[in-house]
Order: sequence, then structure tokens, then C-alpha cells
Amino acid sequence: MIFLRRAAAAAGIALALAAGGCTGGENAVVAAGAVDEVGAVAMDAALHAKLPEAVRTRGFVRLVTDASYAPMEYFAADGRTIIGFEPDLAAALGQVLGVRVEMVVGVFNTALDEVSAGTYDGVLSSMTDTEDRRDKADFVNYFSTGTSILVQRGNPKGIAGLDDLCGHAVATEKGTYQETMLVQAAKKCGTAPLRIISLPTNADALVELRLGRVVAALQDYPPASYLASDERTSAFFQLASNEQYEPGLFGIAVDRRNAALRDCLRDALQRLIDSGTYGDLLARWELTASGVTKATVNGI
Amino acid sequence: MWLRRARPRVRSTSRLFATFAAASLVPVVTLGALVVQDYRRDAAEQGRAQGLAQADVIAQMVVAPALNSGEPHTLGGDLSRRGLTAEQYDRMRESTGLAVYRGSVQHLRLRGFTGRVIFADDGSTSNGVPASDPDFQAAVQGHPRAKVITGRTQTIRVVQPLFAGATGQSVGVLEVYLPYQPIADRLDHQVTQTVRRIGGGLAVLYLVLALLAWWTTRSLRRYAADQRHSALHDALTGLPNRLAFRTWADDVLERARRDGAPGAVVLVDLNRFKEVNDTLGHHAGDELLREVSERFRAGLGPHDILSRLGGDEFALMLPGRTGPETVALLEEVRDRLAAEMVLDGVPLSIEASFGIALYPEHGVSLQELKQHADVAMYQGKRGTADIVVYSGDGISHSQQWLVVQAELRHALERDELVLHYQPKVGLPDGEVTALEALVRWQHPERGLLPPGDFLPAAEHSGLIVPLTEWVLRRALTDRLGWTAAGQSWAVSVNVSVRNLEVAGFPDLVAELLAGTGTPADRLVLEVTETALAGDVDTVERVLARVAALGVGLSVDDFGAGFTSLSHLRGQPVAEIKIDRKFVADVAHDPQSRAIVRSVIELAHALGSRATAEGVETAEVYRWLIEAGCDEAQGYLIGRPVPWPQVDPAMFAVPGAVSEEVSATMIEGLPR
Repeated sequence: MIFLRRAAAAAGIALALAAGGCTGGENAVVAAGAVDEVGAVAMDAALHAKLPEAVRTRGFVRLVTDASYAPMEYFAADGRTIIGFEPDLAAALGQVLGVRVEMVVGVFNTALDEVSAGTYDGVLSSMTDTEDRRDKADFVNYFSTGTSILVQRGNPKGIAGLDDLCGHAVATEKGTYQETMLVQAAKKCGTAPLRIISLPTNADALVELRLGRVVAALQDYPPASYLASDERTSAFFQLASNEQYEPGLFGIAVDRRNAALRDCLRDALQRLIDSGTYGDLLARWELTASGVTKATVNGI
Repeated sequence: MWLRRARPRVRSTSRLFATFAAASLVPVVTLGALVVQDYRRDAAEQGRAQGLAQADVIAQMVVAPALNSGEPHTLGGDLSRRGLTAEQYDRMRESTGLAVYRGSVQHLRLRGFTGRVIFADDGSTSNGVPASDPDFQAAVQGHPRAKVITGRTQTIRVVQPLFAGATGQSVGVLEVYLPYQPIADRLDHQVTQTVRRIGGGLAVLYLVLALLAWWTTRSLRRYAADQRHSALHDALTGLPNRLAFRTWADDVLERARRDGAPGAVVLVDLNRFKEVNDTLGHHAGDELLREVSERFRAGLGPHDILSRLGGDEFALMLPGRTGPETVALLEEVRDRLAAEMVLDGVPLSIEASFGIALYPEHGVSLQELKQHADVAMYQGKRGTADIVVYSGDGISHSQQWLVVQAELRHALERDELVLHYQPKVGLPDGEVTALEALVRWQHPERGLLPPGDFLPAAEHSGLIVPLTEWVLRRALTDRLGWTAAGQSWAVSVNVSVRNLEVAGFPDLVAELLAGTGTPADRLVLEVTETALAGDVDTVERVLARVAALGVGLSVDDFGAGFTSLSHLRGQPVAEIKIDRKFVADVAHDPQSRAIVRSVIELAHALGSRATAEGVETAEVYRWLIEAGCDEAQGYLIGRPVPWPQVDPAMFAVPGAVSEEVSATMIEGLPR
């Protein structure tokens, strides 16, 4: 069966090439990035061909992630499987590209360095695309959101905005854009200093907030909203306000020197956006509001 | 008798109770077993759950903090790849040491997903649950498993995924051995206690069920016994009824047939019971029956069966008694019955007729014996003896009677009966005064039958009533015939006591007289003497009404029956017919002569005619004339013939007589 399907796909491609780019034939294969008759995302042979030689030879791409950011990426009940929107997106990208895209657990703070060192091919860990980070990597933008302030249920300290955090301890994950935001905010506090507790994972930050050692935790809107509404956690957490601060783009960080992979990922993402598969995956995780309409690199 | 019957009932009820008890034991025991089994399973499950919870606490409070102390880069991935840092290892030793030492935890190991031992409380790296163990594999897949292991002591082994940090990532497998003995002991204690309680409860429940079953079966048994008793006993006297008598008597006869033992079946009928009922009321009648039953019972042995068949009719089954013994016993019973009793202030003496049939000589079946006893009893009622043993010659009667009765019914319908007439002549002139109608049966097979062949059978059934009616009607019609022929003879018709017990009889006579235009004085009804001894009141009333019509009454067979002279008093008797027994003997027996002469005088004194029956010789005829008898009847004068053959000529004593006759004449006539 697999052999037959592959043969058919190859024949389709050959036909498309022979027709000189003429598309829309009755017997055309499923467009790349869309799901075929058995629900599998169709591969784009041209993109596959553009992948770096090493990737094509290996057959897989390794993306590092910190799986403590539901519903973006987090551990299933077995403690080993990573699930969430990003693993689904990674798999879909892999199918379009014709390679396996693996999610590997790592530490967020050092993730970019690992990519620069060549340990991983990229970072897919709800990483905000910032100017600073572009020094180390290019970002294939796939998501758009802002930052929320998460507080204990009942908001005991009456936190309404970033300014209210002065004089309190606030937790966040080390190396995140939110940490940077807190550093900026702390500068404005004056006599009542803002104490920033930076922790290895977002989960550790939540432990601090749950135990009342900090008044708030800063994180992106999707996971914050998830925590405030999920039945297992909504009893402990709520959003300080519905405001999203400093909205920006998430991006798959790829080493600056690896333009081929970067472009392939962007094109593959564009295929998924065009075919509707991307929108479907967003909907599955109730993240439709944060979707992007066009795959970009570094915001362009 | 009673014990023998009681036993099967007891056996069947105890069997019923045993069935109840056994049947209810099954669900009770099953229920108990199921509950206990469930409880044991729940207890074991509870133990495992407790072990899991305990291991979880150890994992989160002891193991995770020890592992979390290090740098961020130590997190994530499989422990079997990275192992522990020295610091993590030390902290693990510190945090678990005391618990192991105190025995709160027997063993604790950290394993990688491949099974490699990363940390063990005893430092060994080769011990532990095999990596291929299903429990270990489940833990690798993220599912905790607990298992109770029974070795020297009971231990619960928990193998669970090790979530080292807040992210929920599993980094390996935690293998903990916890002491289960105290938990097991406590659960055992709980199970034991529960088993005791449930067992006790079920035992009580069973007991209640058994009591209910016992109570129900007892009620059923009593009810059944009551039902049986009332089905087989007479409510009034408490004696066995007809059905019971038949059943038990059949049993007795069956045994008697095997053993050849003798015995008797006795039927008893109280005399004048109806009178008591009518005059003193039913209450007194009931009381009388009760009293009679008591007296009966007192006179009987333990094996004798006394039964009330209905009304004033009783039956006795006397096994093992011969004829004389039976008679002796019954005489004793009769005397007891005859002892005076007072009912509603009226002193009474009860008499009864006993008919005895003996087995095996009079029959072997109850039906047969009862029939014979019945015959004997009726014989007693008609005769003088109140205890009558069946005598063999009645056999033909009783059996044939039924046939005769059936045939006679048809005979009436088919008009097979004929009337013959025997003339009566006046003395001394010899002129025919009346004809006595005598019924004959022109039987299609047996020819012309005399009345003796069928009248007793008719009299024994209700058939005598239509029969008499037929005779009356025919006789009156015939009289019209001879009146038309110029003769003024009266007609005599015999009536049975049964006719006189029918209240409508006088009306019937009146109607027939009117219908045929017969003057009442041309009809004479001949009543047998025994009829006068019957149900006196009714008979007297009927006779008086018949006499009031102007019909002549004649006492038939006077002197042969059983009557006291008092019966004649108050009866409007027109004629007394002297029984043939006395008449035949007047020729040679002085006593008969004295009797006949006296009867003639009696008749005259009562204002009646005296008529001699059975006059067969001229000698007797002449003597009767001399004795002053008014009329004579007999073969000498004329045999019964159809009326046209009656010789209307004046009877003349024949001159030529046989030698025998002349011899008796010489002897019998006064010289």
C-alpha cells in the first residue's frame, strides 16, 4: 500500500513537472500541506528537495522545547510524551517536508545556545521573536500573542497592571521575553523594588505562585488563559486582566547560518496556512485568535 | 386407625419444611460468600491504593526535592542516560536513610527507563524488579502499579513513574517496598469483623426465614388437616361421613380379604326420627343425633368404625367380629340407645333398626355388603326384630329388585300391566258382592308375573305410587265396564303404606272417582295391617280423608301383620279381612277356629264386615257361614281372572268334593 501510494505521488509529481507547472488538473494530487483521503498531510517534494543535504540524509529535524507551557507544549500524563499545539505543528511541518520533526526536552534559557552549538536544529518553545534574539537566530513566525499577568485566584494583592507589581515578588521562566519585560518594569518602580524570581521552567514559576511566594507570574496569554480556565487549575489561578501586553510573534528559532532550513520551514508553514491545516490545528487547541495569516521570517 | 392416618401428613410437612430450609440456605450462603469475597477484594484493593498513595507522597516529598536541588540542566530526559550528580546522590541518601532505618520504607530504588538502577538504598545495582516485569513496563508508560508480595512478611511493592519536577515530566521509575504487614493485619481484622457481622446477620436472617417456613408449614398442615377432617367428617356429630366410611371400610375389607378375617357391616336407621324432628324441631333432632352418636361410640371397640351416612342413617364397620358377636354387640348398643333421654323436657326412648351383613359370607365388596345390610334393615323395619342378620334368600331380591324397578318403569309406560279380579261373595247366599283387583305383569320375556314378583320391589322404591294410581284408574274403568254389563259389584284395590304417606292421595282418589262417575261406596281400599303401623299420624290423616269421601276401608291380612288393636280404634274400617293362614286351618285347628270366630266378633263389634280370605274348600266355606262370617274369598269361589270371565252366577257349594277334601271336612266340621 505504502509503496503504491508513494508510486502514485511520484507519478503525480512527474506529471505536474511534465505539464510545465500547469495545475488544477482533475487528477491532481492533494495540495501540499492539506490532508489527503486518509487524513495524512501531503508532502511537498520540491520543498523536500530544498532541505539541507544533512537533514535529508538524516531524515529528521530536532527542535528543542521546554514542555511546561500548556497548551502550547507540555507533558502528557505518562510524563514522557510531549503534547500540545507545537508538537502537532511540528509533525505537520515534518510531513510537508518529508522528514520527521522531533521535539526534544531542553532548558529554555540555554536553548538558543544549544542551537548555535549545533546540538539541535532549532527551538520550538513558544519563543518570542525579539531583536536581541535575532542576533543568534532567525525566526519563522507561526503565532501571534501578548503577555498576561497570572495571579492567584481572587487576586489577593489586587494586581491590575504591570505597575502594580512594584514592591512584590514576581516569578517567570528564566530567559523568556517576560523576564525582559519584568526587568524593564522594575526600573520604573523606584523605592518599592520589584523582585524577579526567574526559574528553570514555567512550571516552577507556577509552583511559586500557587504557594503564594510571588504575587504574580508573567507568561504568554495562551498558557495563562489555559491555566485560568482549565478545571484542574482554575481554582488556583486567574488573569489579572484581559489585557495582553506587548503583543508579538512567536517564532521557530533556526540558526542564522541555516537559511535553507529556515526557508523550508517558512514555506512549509505557508503550505499549511494555505491548505487550512494550520487553522485546523489552532482550532484543536482553541488558539484560533492567535493565528497568523502569512508565514514570515523575523516579522517580514 | 387415627395414628396410621396422621403419619403421612407429618412426614410430608417435615419434608416441606426441610425443602424450605434447604432452599433458603442456598441463597443465604451464596449471599454471604459473595459479600465476603467482595469485601476481601475491596480490602486488598484498599491496601494497594494505600500503598500507591504512600509511595506518591514519598516520591513528591523525599525523592523529587532531592533531585530538584541541582542545576537546571540536570532536568529532562531519562535518568538512565545521565545518572545523578554527586550532590543529588548524597541528598537521596540523606533523605531516605532514616525511613529505611526505621523500616517505614523497606527498600527504595530509582531506575532508568531501561531498568538501570540509578539509586538504591543499599547501594546494590543488580537488585530490583526486572525491567521486563509488566509492572515495570507500566510504570515506564506512566502508570503506577502496586502489588502485595508475601514472603517472610507481607510487603507492598509500588513501581511508579518518577515525576521529578513541576513540569510533569517522568524521568525514570521509582521502586518502593513498603511494609504491608500492619496494613494487612488491620484489613484482616476488618475482614474478620465484617465476616462475623455478616455471618451473624445472615444466620439471624436464616433463622427468621426458617421460623417463618416452620410457622407457615405448620399453619398449612393444620389447615390441611382441618380441611381433610371436614371433608371426611360429619359436621354435626364429628363422625366419619359417607366418603370416609367408604374409604376406610374398603381398606378394612381389603385387609380382610387378604387375611380371611371375618367382620360385619351394619346399617342402622333410627325409628321415628322424623317425628322428633317434626314435633320438637330440628334443634332437638340435631341434639338427638349427637346423643345417639355418643351412645353408639361408647358401645364400640377401638377398631370399629362408626359413620353417619346422612339423616338418621348410620353405618358400622365391625372388623374381626362373627355374626353372634356382632349381634351381641348390637344388642348392647340397642339397649344403650333405648335408655331414656330427655330432649327439650320431653323424655324419649330411641329405637333403631339394625341390618347386618357379614363378610365374607354375604359378600366381599362394600357395595354388596351395604346392599345386604340394607335389605336386612328393611326386613327389620317391617318385622318385629330390630336386629336382623341378612339371610341368603334375600340375595335374589335385592339384586333383582333393581332390575325389576327399572323394567317396571317401562312396563307402566308400555302398559304391560293387567288387572285380574277375584270375586268376593256374601255369606250365606253366595252372591258376588265385590271384585278385588289384583295386578299382573305381562312380562315380555318372563310371561305373566304374579304381584309377589314385582310389588315388593315397587314398594321399596317410589314406583308404588304411580303403580297404585294406574291400578286405581284401571280398576275404576273396569268397574264401569261391568256396571254397563248390568253388575253392581264393588271394586277393591290394594294400597301400600307408601301411598298413604303421600298427602295428595285422597285428592287423587276423589279425582278418579269423579272422573269415572263412580259412587264412593263402590270402591274399597284394602290396606295391609302393617300400613297402619307406619307413620301413624300421616297415615291416619290420609285414611280419615279417604274415608270422608265415602270410600270403604278394608284391613287386609288381619292377624298376620304387626299391629296393636289400638290402631283399629279411631279408624273408619268398613271391612276386616281375616288372614288366609287362620282361615285355611279352621278345618282342623281349634285355635284357628277360636281366632277366626273372635275376629268375626271383633269386626262386628267395630261395625265392620268380616271377610275370610283363602277359602279353598267347601268345608271351610260351610264353617264360615256357620261362624257368621259376612263374606268369603278364595280359589273355591273363584280364581283371579279378567273381569269378563268372572262368573256372575250365585255361588253354590259344589256337591262333588275330592276325597281329601271330604276327609278334612269330616275332621273339621262340628258334629
